[in-house]
Amino acid sequence: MFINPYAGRLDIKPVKSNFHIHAGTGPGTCGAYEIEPVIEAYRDCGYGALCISNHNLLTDPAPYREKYGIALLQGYEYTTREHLLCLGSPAFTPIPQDVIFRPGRDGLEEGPFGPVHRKRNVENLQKAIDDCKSAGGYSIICHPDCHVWGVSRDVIDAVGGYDAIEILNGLNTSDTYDHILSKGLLKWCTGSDDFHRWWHLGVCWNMIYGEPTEAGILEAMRSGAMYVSKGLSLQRLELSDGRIHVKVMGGDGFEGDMEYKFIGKDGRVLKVTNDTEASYRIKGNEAYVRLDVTSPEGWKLITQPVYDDAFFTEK
Amino acid sequence: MFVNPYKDCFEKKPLKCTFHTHAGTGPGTCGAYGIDDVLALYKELGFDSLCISNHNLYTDPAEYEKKHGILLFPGYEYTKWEHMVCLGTDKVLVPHPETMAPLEDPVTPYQAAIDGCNADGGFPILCHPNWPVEWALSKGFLSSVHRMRAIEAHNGSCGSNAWDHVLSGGRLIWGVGSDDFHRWWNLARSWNVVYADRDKPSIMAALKAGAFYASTGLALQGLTLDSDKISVEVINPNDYRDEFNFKFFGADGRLLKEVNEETATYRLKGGEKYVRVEVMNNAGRKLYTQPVYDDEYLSIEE
Repeated sequence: MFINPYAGRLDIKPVKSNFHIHAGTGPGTCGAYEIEPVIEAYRDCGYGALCISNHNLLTDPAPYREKYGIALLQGYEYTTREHLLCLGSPAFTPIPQDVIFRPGRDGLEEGPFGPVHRKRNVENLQKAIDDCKSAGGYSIICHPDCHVWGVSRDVIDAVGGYDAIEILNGLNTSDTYDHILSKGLLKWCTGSDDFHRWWHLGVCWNMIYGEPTEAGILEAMRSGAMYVSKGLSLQRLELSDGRIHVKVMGGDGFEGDMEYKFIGKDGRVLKVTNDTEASYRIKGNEAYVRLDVTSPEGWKLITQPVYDDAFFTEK
Repeated sequence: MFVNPYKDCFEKKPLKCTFHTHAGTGPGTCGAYGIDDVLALYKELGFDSLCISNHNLYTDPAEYEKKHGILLFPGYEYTKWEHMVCLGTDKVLVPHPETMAPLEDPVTPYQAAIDGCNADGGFPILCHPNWPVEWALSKGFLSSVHRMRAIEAHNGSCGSNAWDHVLSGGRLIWGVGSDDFHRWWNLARSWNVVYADRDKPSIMAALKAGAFYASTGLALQGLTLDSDKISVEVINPNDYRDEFNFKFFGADGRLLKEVNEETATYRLKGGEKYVRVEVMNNAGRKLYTQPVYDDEYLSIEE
C-alpha cells in the first residue's frame, strides 16, 4: 500500500528550519560569527527551528531558546572523514586517535562525481549513529557523494540506522538518495545551508509540519512530514484514488508554471509536467514516487517519497 | 549577419560584479547594515566590482573604494513603482526622491533618468520586471521607454519574459543578474561575470558590448558561433561533475531547443532574430547568456 507522509499534516503551519549551522567563535567552534547574531539573522529570515551544529562540539541551546523564542535542537556535527548531523539529543561520540582525519595527508581517489578523500571510518560513524539514536536523537548523513568532503557511497551502504541524508547542500545529491531508497531503506531527505558565513544563510531549508518545539520537530521529521525548499512552498500533496496530486507555489505566493518531476525507483523519471500543478497515477510497481519541482528561475522544492509500504525493509 | 557578443572574450580573466546593493544605515538609505560591513563580505567572496545603489540616493563611492580595494561605480536605484539601477552616474534624476509613491505619468521621468544616465556615460538597468507579480512592468511600459541598456534577467524572480519582449521588438538590451542586496540572505545569489580588464572604464565598455553573463552559480567556459553553429560550454565551478539543462530561446521567448548534456550546440535555421541560452543544473543554479543576434534585426537604441 502506498503511504503519503504528508497525509493529515498540511493544515499545520510548517516551521522553517535549518539544522546545519556553524556559529560561535570560542574554542573548538568553527564559526566565523557569534551564535547570537546568527540566530537573530535566521529568526529575521523567518526560521522557527535551528540547530547549532559545530564540528565535534555540543552546544547547549537552553539560553538561546529562552532569549529568541524559537525551537533550538541540541546537537553537533560528527566530523572525521565522514560528517553526520546528530540532532535532538545530548549524545556525543568521541573520535578515537586513529579515526581523526587529516585532510591533505590521507590521500584522494576518484569518486563518482569527482575526487574524494580515500580514508574511510565506517565503524565509528556507525557508533555515532547508534549513540545518537539510543539517546533519542535523529541523525542525518551530510553532503553524501558530494565532493571531496562527501560521505562516500560505499560508506553509506555499510552503515544503517540513520534517519535522513542531506539531498541539498550546495549540490543536489538525488542520485545517492534514489540509490538508498531503491535498496528498500526508507530514509528522509533534508536541505541544509551548512552555514559558516553570511552568504550561506537561507540558501535551502526544511519546512516541517510539526509543533515548534524540539520534540514536535523531531516527531514530524521521524514521520517524514517535511520537505526541502530552496524558495518554493508546498500547497498540496495528496494521495487519492491512486493518484498523487501536487501543487507548489513561489515562496512569496507567486503562482506560475513550474517543472514537476516525478521520480521513482532507481531515479527513473516517471513523468514531467510543466504547469501550475501536477498529478501522477500510481501504477503499483514504483516502490516510491517523489517530487523534484523547479521554477524557471531555479528555485526548488524536493518532497519526501510517497512510498509502497511493502517495498521498504528498513523504516 | 549573426553577431556573437562573446567573440574574443574567453582569453580575458573574468571579473565578478554586482550592481544592485542596498547598504548603509544613515538617513535615506534603505540598507540594514553599514556599507563597510557589506563591502567587506563581497570582497571576501571575490567580487571585483560593485555599485551601492540605494533608492533615490546617491552614495559617493570614493572613500569605500580606496578602503576595500574593490571597484565601485557611482549610481543609485531610481525608485517609484518602476525601478532602475542607474549605473555610472552621480546625478539622481527622480521627481520627489523622498517618496517611492507611484507616479501618474511613469514614463516621462523614467525616460529622463535613462537619458541622464546615458549622457553621463552610464548603463541604465531596468529592475525586476516581474516583481511583485508577473508583468509588474507591463508590455506597454516596456515598449514606451527607450535607450535602456539592460534588464535584470534574474533578481529573485526571472525577468526572461520581459527581456524577450524587448528583444523581440528589435531593441538589443543585455541581461543582468542582481542580488538586490538588503539582508545577508540576499548576498551573492546572482551576479555578473564580466570579461574586462580590472578597471572601471573597461568594465563599463564590456557591459555596453554585452561581454558578460548573469550567473546564479554556474560558469561559462565558452560560447562560440562557427558559421551557423552556436556551441555552449558550462561548468559547475566547484569541480563537481554535473549535467546541465540547456534551453535555447528565440524571438518572443520561443523555446528553440532543450538538451540535458555536459555541453550543447544549436544550429541556426535563419530567421531567428536572436538566440540566447539559459542553463541550469539540478540544484537550480543557473546561467543566462547574452543573445547571439542578427544585426539586421536587432540593434542598441541610439
